[in-house]
Amino acid sequence: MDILEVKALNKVYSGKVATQALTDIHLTIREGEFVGIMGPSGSGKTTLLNMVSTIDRPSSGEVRIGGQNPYNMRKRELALFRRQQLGFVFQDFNLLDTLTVAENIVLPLTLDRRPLKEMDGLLKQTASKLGIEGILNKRIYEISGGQRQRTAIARAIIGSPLLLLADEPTGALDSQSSRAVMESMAEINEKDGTTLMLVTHDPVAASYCNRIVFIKDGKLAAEIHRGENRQAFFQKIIDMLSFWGGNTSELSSIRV
Amino acid sequence: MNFPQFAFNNVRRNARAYVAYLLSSSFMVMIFFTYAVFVYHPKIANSEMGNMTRVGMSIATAIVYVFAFFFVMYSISVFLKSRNREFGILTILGAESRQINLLIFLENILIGAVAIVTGIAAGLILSKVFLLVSTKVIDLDDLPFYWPAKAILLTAGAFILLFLFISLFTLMFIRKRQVLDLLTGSSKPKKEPKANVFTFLLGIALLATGYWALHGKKLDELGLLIAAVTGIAGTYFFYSQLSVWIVKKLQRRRSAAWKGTNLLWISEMSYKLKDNARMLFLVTVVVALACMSTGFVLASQQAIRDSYMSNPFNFRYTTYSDGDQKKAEKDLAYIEKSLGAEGMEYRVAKVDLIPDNSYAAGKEKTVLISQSQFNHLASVMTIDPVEQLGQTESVLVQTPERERKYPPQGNNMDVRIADSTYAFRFVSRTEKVASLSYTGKLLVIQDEEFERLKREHQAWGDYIQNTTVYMAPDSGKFPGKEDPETKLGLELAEWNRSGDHGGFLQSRAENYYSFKQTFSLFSFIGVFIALIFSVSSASFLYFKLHTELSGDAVMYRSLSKIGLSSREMNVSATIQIAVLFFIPIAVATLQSLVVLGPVMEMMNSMSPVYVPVITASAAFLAVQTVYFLVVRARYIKAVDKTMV
Repeated sequence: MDILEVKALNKVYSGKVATQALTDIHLTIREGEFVGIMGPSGSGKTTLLNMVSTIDRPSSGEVRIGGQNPYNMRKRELALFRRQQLGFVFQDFNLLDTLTVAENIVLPLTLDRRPLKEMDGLLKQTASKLGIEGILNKRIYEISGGQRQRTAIARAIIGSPLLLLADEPTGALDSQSSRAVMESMAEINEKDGTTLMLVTHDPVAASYCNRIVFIKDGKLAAEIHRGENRQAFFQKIIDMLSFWGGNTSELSSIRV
Repeated sequence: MNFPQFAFNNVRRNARAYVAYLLSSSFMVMIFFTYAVFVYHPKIANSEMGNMTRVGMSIATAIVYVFAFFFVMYSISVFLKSRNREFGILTILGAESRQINLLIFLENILIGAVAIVTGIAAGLILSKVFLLVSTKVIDLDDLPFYWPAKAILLTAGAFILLFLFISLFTLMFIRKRQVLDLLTGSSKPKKEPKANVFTFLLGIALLATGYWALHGKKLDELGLLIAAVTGIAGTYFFYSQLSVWIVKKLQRRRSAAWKGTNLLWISEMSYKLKDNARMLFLVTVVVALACMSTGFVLASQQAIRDSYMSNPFNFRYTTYSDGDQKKAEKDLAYIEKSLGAEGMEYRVAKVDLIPDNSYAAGKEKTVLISQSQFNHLASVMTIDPVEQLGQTESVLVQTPERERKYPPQGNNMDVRIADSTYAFRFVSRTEKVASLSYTGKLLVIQDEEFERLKREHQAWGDYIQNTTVYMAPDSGKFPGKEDPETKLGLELAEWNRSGDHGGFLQSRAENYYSFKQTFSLFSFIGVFIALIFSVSSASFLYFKLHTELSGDAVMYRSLSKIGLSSREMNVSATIQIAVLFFIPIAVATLQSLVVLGPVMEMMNSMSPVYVPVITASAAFLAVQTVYFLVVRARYIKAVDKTMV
């Protein structure tokens, strides 16, 4: 089953000088896939993610998530749709300082007025999946960046979304935390079969995906699939980046 | 570009950021100044007002100033916080802390100067408008506009001091911050306040002291002052402790907290607890003052009206048995002639009254009347007569006001004539006619017994009161200035005051009218204070929400990405704003009830205070609701715009 279908998507930012951010994008993500979107800065990765995550409207073309077109929904329906069908992980976590870790995680469920017992059960289950049971009663400013991102992932998956969207989830983390976060995401993908779409320019993070789509100047440029070996996949990503990116200095942050 | 130029340009080019701070400061100057214009108005300053009113007005002045202080303090701390990054960058670029201090100092002085000038200018216009409108609305002779030199000096002086102090204070505030703290700005949450048993007890003790000062003994000026200070301080602790306690309780009850948007607003509130407690406190004090002054005005007007309504006699002429009877007869003839000349229909009745000696025994006076005279009066007034009485039987007639306050106990009462005590069994009735006795307590006894007591009373050397009452058909309205009753009353009162007369004339219309006249000035001041405070409380809240808006908008935006709908944001924000707007009204109503009771009692008013207080707070509720709707709509619209 196709979870995400993007057809002939165009995005133009109007202004004094109109900018064509995305041109004729076609992209399909099947259930259980873990797809990475890569490309140099300004290539349109985040624009594409914004279209998929229903935050921004396309200029033309169609986006279907689980067979539904979110842009035909009314505002309130859309909010519900985001809450129940999509999960979000952001580079800067977007957690509420005012809440504890546990409260942050269950927030989407409380908005849906789920029974307390069910929330407690789901919370326990999700927290143990991400290894954050020990910090549930801590406040956000008391925990590390990696723990914050795993809290954000827990919040994103607690409602069992159709599609989990991640925007540079490792962008603000050190390599150790990055690895822990990416391993959690890969595990969610493998064990629970959650469909993921990841936008990143970190090749290490990208190497956890099944498939990577490259974008350059708002157009689809290439696509590579992962084989058995992650190390080999990583090398392939580096090669693709240096080919499509055309500028090796962008790869200076490689970490293995 | 030298340093003062840099400071000046910084303000000039970054005007948008400074405008909120400047406006709020200037607004406070305007409020304070307008108030000062009235306090120092020659007509008000020279008017005959009681010490109590004077103390009340000084308390209000002090509160306006303290209020201004907190308001400016709050706005500057918010303002500086929003500029932490800027100071961080300056520090990194190598600015000495001395230079940054100088920058802030210069800016503050600049803004302070502008605020004082614009505030006074706006205040001049505002007070002029207010004088114009108020003299039209209130039945006041007129309060002319004057050149308020004293008020200008006071305002300028007070606020120069305030800005200087605040500038120095903020320097201390900034100095101890690390560069990193400055650069990362306000992302770090504030320390959570904790409920503390000691502070809690202190708050209770303060409130109790305030209550005791008001209700413990007879209220005087010192008592009022003590009550004001302890009441205000107590209110602060009340909020800072109670709000912590309530929010913690709410957070702990997960079944309630983890439901819908509750989680959102409860946690937001706990996060802003300290700020909110301060805000609630300030708004409460201000609204309570507004409520009290309106309540005071209403209660006093009610008292004046009540005393008119409870008096069934249009005119009353009183002589004493030791007075000059000839003169008295001449006076009565003159009064009747005047009444006839004015074309008034009237009925007349004469009664003899014995005011007993109870006060010598430390009790309240009872006034005795004979059965036949009472029944005559009753037939003139068309009320029920009294049945034939036995020697020790009587009927106790009380006015409705007295009846409310002292419902008769038992069925025996003692009357003291000369130096002996007589016991009467009584049945009680409630009639306005009892206002013949100024205590509102009239005892009807058997004719023979009355004559006997009268002789005994006079033999002891006490006097009998001869009262003649005139009653015109009741129009059911309060007398206006042009009514014949008022005109005649004013005329006869003047006649009675001048020259040598055998007795004392009272006219209820004249009484009512002259009370109302004296009082209108104070109504005016009361309403004015209420208006000023109501406006400032609203602007205070608006400013708070305005400064928090950008932070809140970021939060709601990120929440909307994960699926918070506009309606849920609306609910969460509305609850938080409503708490700030409406809890102070409830507390202020309670405080007004507690405070106004003894104050009115001290003014010898018999009328209950809860009606005027409830009326006043209902009016504030209405006004506050309008503010609330406006502020809420603006806030939600602004946040909604940022949501995706």
